[in-house]
Amino acid sequence: MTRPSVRLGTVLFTLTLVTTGCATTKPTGGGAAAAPGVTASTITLGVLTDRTGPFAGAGASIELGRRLFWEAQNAAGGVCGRTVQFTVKDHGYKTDQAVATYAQIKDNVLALDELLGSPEIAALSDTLEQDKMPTMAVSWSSALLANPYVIVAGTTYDVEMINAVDWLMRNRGLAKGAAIGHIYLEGDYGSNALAGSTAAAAANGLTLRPSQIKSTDTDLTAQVTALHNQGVRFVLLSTSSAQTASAVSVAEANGFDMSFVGSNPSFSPALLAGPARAAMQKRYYMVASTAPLSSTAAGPEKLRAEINAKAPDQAKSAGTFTVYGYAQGMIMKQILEAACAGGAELTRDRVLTAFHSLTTVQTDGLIAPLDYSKPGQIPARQVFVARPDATVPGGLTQVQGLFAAAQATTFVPKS
Amino acid sequence: MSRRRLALAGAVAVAAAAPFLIDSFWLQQGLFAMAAAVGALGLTLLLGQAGQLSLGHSFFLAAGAYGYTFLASGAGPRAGGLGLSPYLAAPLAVLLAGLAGLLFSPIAARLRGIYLGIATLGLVFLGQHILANAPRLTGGDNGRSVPPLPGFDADPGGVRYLLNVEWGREQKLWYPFLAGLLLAYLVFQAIARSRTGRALRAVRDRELMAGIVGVPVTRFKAYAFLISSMYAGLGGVLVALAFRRVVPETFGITLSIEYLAMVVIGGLGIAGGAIAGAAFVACLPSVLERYSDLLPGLAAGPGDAGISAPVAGKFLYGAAVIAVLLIEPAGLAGLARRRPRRAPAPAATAPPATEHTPTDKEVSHP
Repeated sequence: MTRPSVRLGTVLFTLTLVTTGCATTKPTGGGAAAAPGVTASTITLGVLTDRTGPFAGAGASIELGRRLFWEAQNAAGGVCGRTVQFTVKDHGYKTDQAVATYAQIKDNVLALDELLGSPEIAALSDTLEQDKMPTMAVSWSSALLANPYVIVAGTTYDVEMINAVDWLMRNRGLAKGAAIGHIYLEGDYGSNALAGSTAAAAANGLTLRPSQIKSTDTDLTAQVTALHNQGVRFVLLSTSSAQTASAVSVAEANGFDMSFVGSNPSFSPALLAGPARAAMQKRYYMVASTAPLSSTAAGPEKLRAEINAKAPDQAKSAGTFTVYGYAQGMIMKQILEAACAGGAELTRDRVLTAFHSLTTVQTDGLIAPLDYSKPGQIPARQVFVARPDATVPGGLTQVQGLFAAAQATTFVPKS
Repeated sequence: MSRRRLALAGAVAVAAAAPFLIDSFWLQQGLFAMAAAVGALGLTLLLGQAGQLSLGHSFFLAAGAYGYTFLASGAGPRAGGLGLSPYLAAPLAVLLAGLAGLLFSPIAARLRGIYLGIATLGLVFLGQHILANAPRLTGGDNGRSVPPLPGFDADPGGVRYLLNVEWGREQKLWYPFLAGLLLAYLVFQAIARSRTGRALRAVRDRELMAGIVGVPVTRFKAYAFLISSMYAGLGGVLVALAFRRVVPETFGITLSIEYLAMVVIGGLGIAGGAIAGAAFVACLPSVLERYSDLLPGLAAGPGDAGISAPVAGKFLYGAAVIAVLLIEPAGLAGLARRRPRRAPAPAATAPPATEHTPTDKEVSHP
């Protein structure tokens, strides 16, 4: 029964499992001269996204925007005389998977065109600095600004909330001295938004009634009812879209006189196909630096035409994240163009320098104008306000064009 | 030298040569696998030897990972730290995880089976809450940077070469990891082969009988839990070093379940099995991802037709768990054991060695 070879076998099995794969994948080395991901005719960018986890919908929407932008751009000659291509990996919104897939692609890409998810960005942030990897993050937390390699494309959650409060006071009858609610998720997204609402309440003489929830909470009856009993008429939401639907539906079913304002992640066009549609259209507003797909500005107009022409089957699911994905392409194109301006060789260092040299990045009205020239500073401070409308593309219609509250233009996040 | 020792020495020699043979991506996978293997050894000791189910393994991994990070980090504006030498912080973190295990052991010693499983599940949620809400200790939601082991980190001045091989962080870290795994393996074998190991298996197989023959059942259950949490602590330190940054999401309930899958696939209670199971579970998604274009039915990239590699990985190790339960309850270790029996052993050598009996008999099912 006892065989020494048992142990030998199991230990060796372990080793072979690791080594067999490896023996066939000889290091690609030899390319010491060129930067990773750059050849004479191509630039390869990495995408670490979520296709199988909780943000699979957002990931697919961004992908549609990216595909449409770069298909057209590559057809028109690409960037820096090269075609841009992508290595796309799915991390399923898991940190360990993100670390593993990053290791797999890091030596073959010039920069990351997308890294989705706050926990994944946090888990990789030291590694990104070590590898000097310029990374476009799909998250709008001020905490990301500390890392010089992370590119935040838009207004941060704290500034969004400050603008939301300002807009409510000027347009919706939120008066000084009143109470305002804020239901926020535990985690980076919620705590960053709470910093903004706290600052705004203090500056405007409002009483803030914060209420923390967990990502596993699905029914917000208790929170909404408690806020109603405290005399709250306006509630800020830093929640998932399903949680938004719950909050809004609770207020509707009980006939509470309450309106809700949330950031980008608190809305999904899919909500308008469900039972929450009427309540959403009546009570919900979104503040975001990304324009609604139905916007009449040049960028969104063009994007809608491209969706209808090239991806009509995805027209229903396209939304703000598609706008974002398309705008991300425009931003990356401008960074790359600045990096190779004057025939300079493309390297990660050049890309980073170019990124920090951009003072006004315009995206034809897709995203608020961005300023990346001051490292560590919030790149944009303006937002749109939109409301749900099931009849328009993307499910949101603009009610307020770009604006920034006075407090939002000077706000400095603590850290 | 017995054949077993020879085999072990051979395996270590092969492993030690790995940094010269394989590229840094696979080395990193190997680092993940070795870190997981140390944690899995602890769980297989608890579950396979003592018959105690724990779903709280990720809590103790977090205790080790965050303990090391806190002890070895200097105090900063956002989070505190003691600024100890990493070489002191690592063993202290293991003790810290052990202490956490000790505090829980009065409960662990009085519960069994699924009841203990549910009680330990609570630890994971407690851990998640602490990790997110004690920013001075843990860095909060964004986690903390893990201080590297001095002498085993990437060179700041660019890439260096050793014997014509690129000698970076993964290559250097390989050896402390290998040493950690070897230590964990040897300690496991020593425990399993000792009186203590026999007592644990007696408790596992029949608690009442063990009590009658004079085994202090409660104490040994507590002991198993303590040792297992220390293993998880060491595994946590290695996980932290391999990942470079610790964030709360890493240490959720999924991680506990993955460790459970590792020890079941590997074969309960067997050291080599736990290591093989850890390598299987930790590397499978990446292996599938790497070769997704060669495997039928797998999507070459996200958005293509077919199942994506991470999903296929989950299916595969789910299937492996079921296959193990149906076909070979002794797991990968059991499969490895079958082969020599089928092909008659070369006659001349020694008859079935009797000296090892205790450790190899232990395979049975709780």
